[in-house]
Amino acid sequence: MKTVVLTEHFDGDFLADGHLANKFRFCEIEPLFTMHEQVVFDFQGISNITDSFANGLIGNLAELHPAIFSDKIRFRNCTLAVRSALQLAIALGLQRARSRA
Amino acid sequence: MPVHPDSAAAQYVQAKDYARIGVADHGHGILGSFRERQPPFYQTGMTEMEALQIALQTGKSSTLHLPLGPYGAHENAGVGLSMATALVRLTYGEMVLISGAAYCHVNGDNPPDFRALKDHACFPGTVVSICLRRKEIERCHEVMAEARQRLGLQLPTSSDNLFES
Repeated sequence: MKTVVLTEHFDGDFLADGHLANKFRFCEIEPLFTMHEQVVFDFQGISNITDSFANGLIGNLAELHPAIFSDKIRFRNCTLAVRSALQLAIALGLQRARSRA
Repeated sequence: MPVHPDSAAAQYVQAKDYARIGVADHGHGILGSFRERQPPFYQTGMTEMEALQIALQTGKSSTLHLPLGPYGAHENAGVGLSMATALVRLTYGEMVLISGAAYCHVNGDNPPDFRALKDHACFPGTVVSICLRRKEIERCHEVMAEARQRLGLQLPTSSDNLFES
């Protein structure tokens, strides 16, 4: 299992930049998918995130890996606001994956 | 030609317990964005009001059809305006969206009302103004979930397991 602590990679308690999130997913998270059985995102210290950030990081993971996403990914220490944004991004990502299938 | 900065503003009115949030840009406007990027739903001769109506539909974005960037995925999903509309309607708030010569007014749970600005008025860009009552959004997690449901964005039941305490 690999734990990714968001505050170690991003400044501030409000994560807003979808482009940075997408870059982080591609460069840092995708390789972990093949190396670890489970990847845990720890949002300790993060009060809120934008939909763009959630989509760039998590929505795209759900879209690109729909079959293994639910087994592979876990979220820890999410505020209600963060959780809401993540849930929307996951729903959208899985919907896009279904429409592409 | 002067360059106007984009702007955002927010205000909390304690006496009435509501918050207003406004965002404005001086870009191409929604129709201009469609015209420039030519998404599949764009049609020559489309009016600004028709463009607004499409922009409020879930999953409609002017960028999703474009080639993927260097990281192999898009950053937006085309749900910002539809989620905002659903949130406003669920919480009996108010939203005004102006782009070019057209505007959309969402008042309470009523369906969006699309109209042309009067007297050939035109805003050079896009403005969104949202007013939300605080007492209606205190349970934001539940409201967001209901908004997702309204838009048909369902999470699989197994998703509860994704979140550890």
